Amino acid sequence: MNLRNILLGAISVAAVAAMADSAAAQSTGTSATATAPAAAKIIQPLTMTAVSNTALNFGTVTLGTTASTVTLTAASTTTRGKTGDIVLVTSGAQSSAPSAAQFTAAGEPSAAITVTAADVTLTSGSNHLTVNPAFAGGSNASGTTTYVTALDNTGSLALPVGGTLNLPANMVAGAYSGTLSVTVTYN
Amino acid sequence: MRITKAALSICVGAAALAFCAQAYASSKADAPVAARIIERAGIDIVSPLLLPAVSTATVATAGTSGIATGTSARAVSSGVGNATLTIHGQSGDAVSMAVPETFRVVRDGGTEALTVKTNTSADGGALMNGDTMSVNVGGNVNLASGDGLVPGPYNGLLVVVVQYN
Repeated sequence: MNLRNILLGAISVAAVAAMADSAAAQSTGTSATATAPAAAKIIQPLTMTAVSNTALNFGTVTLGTTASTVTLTAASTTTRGKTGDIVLVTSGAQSSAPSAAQFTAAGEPSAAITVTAADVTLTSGSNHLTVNPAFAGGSNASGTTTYVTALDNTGSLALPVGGTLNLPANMVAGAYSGTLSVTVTYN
Repeated sequence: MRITKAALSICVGAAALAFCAQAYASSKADAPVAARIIERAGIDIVSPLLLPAVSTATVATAGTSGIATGTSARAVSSGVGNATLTIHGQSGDAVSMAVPETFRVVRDGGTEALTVKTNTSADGGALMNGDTMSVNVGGNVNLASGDGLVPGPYNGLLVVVVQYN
């Protein structure tokens, strides 16, 4: 074996070795593998239903000369109150039974939820009145009533809705109506 | 970089799934709201019931069995009139009005009393034809009901009740 052949062989081996080294580095530098746990939970869809034939009805009052309010408690059997010089009409052909609106929320048992309702505008011709809705808990701010609560252990919650009807001093007689929208969301 | 149809389908499907998930995490329902304001039922007295002043005199009459005395009376004042009342209520609604058949007037500073019998243009029930309605109440005095007809002003209170039916 002459020196030339030895050198050629060494160069070849070195080249092969270099190529082999290069091949090993690529295989470990161009891909990587890691593992992480994965989980999923399927829960009941959330629904809100208005109980049929229930309305938020403030009943009949007589005209007043000062700013007044009519209040209904958020209960299955509501209690009506008032401020100002209006008179609550409780009998006769002009009267109608006051009532709180009734809703039912259903979904995942014991799930935390948030219930919201925006202020309602009642209209009679060109005249308008404002209603601030009220739940059994929560508070009204910036035109929206918010109530943070939870479904019971069967996944249900009865939601009566009362509120405050605001009557200005220059109130106008008439039959007023509007629509209350109540939204429930999983927390 | 080219996006394959399969990859695009996966993206759209994922977005739809996210939207559906949000819909089932929130729900809304509506209910009607109602309130009614009516005119206050009330009564305004436009003018009171004014009965005429009466002058009385003892009259002696000779009869076959002797002289009998009695009392004659005549009205001597003007400016009398029925009570005029304005009823306030809700147009189209029925109201009922209760006016007493009689009421008593008593002499100022005394106890002598006279009975006034009333008459009115709208006793019982009526239908409001507008927000207001005018009603008259008159009366007449039976002087024979008086106790000795002591001179003096007599005053009393006529109470009229109006209410929605």
